[in-house]
Amino acid sequence: MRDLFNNEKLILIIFLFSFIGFWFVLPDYAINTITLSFCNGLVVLGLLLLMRLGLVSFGHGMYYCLGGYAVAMTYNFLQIKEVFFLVAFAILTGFIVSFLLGFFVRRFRGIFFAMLNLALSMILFGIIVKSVSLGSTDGFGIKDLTYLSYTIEDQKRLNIFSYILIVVFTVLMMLFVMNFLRSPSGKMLEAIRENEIRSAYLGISINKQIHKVYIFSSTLAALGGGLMVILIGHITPEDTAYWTKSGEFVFVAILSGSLNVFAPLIGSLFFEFIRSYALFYFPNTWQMIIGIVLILGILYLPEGIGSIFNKRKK
Amino acid sequence: MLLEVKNLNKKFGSVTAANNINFQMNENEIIGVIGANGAGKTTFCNIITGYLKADSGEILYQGADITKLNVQEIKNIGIHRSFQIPQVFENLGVLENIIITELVSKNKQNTLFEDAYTKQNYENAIKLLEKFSLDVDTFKDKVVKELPQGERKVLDILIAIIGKPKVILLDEPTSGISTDEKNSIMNNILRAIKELNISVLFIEHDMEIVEKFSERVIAFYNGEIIADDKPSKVFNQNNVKKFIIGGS
Repeated sequence: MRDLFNNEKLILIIFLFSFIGFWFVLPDYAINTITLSFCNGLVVLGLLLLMRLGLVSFGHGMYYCLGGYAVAMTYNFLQIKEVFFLVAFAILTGFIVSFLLGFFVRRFRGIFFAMLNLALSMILFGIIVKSVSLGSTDGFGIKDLTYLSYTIEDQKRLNIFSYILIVVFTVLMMLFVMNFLRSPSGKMLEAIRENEIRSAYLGISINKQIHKVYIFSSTLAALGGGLMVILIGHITPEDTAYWTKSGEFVFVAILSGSLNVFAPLIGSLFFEFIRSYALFYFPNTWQMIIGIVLILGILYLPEGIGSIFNKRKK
Repeated sequence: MLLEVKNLNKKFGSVTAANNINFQMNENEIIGVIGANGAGKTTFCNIITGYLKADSGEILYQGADITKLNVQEIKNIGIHRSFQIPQVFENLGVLENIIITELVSKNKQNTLFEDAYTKQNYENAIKLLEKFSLDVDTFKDKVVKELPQGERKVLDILIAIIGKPKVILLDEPTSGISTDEKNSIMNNILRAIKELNISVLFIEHDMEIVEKFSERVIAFYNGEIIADDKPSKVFNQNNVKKFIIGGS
């Protein structure tokens, strides 16, 4: 069974077709949860990249927020309704902002890196909340969208197009990350995490590598945010840039582990379903259920949910 | 002249770690560096490799000034090093340590569209282990943290040699290695290094090893070079006997 899971590309194809197939068999609430999990899972996939470097960001909600606002503001201010353009704007925004901020954050490690990102995220939150032109606490909404010129009305926001769009984008990003982690460039992450001194003496440009991964990771988070707005049709700063959202991403990242690219998506799905059911059955104590799940995860799956499928070769 | 150090000075607060050091190294030389703890040997090594910046002075490599270069730039021009405490990738396999090093030496740190751990790369890593006369079966399936200190040390040196440097600085290559193994390990290391025409500067506390394997010895005391000659002459100098051999 483990050998089967070692063939990641085959699993990814099965993963893609299974989730496309789920559209036809699962009820709407489950499809909605899956789709939202995938949007959030992209942020966790980005965190996986940082974790491979030995870094954690407590502020990736910032890029989730930026991607979402890029979509919502492009829609509202530029009247662009084509989904692929909107997604491109989300990606571009994440790329540009992380490229610029990367020069600053790449010099920090450990808790300083994590808290610095949290601080940046809270600055963005403060700016949006205090700016009426940015929608303040109400945020922005979007309505009808077009998929390659085919218009989908606002009421049918969760439709086969948006679902397949999100599943395909997610799988494509998983494939990118998978190939990256297997490449020489991806192996530099392990080297830096294991021993920065030796890595420097080998000639690895540590800061450049961290910067590159930070951009990759943040762009994934921005894409997740952009897709989330396409799915939900609305964005507020509190649901994206506030520290609790970033904390949620870190929670899922720890729950998932960083062993393979499936872990963030499975972890995100697991989290969303647990939260949905916990909210339904224990509306006043659902956070306690989430906490217990994390404790059990740490105790029995210290390397995360991904370790169910494969063990890192030792 | 391969490497030349001119009037090098370095202080840490009131402590002088390098005091007007002048030093030359020719191609294919094997130089032993001796001195008591705190004499300035590792600081000297750290300054040459760019880890520390000198307060004043110059370092010339093949005639070019490299004083202001950083660690990566110095590595890229051909000066590599190993460490007193082995600096390896502890949670990765021995072969993976070698493969990553080879990938960096081939300037593939930004290569995206190929696999890193290919069969070919594993075979190359095994060949390198054989070149160092290391027991391939012992090493190939091990994670580095499972290795004894001595074997980690050898791996650290092996990693430093990948990429064919012109100069290699070995910081206490035999520390943590049993007395019985020291000679054979040094033989293996220096044979492999000689085949590659690499000049060696090795810091060592074991005087027998220094006498046996170095062609020239420099002795440090209080941040100064107090002797620089053939081993037999250096070991007979009174100040070396008094401050280093007698006191070490």
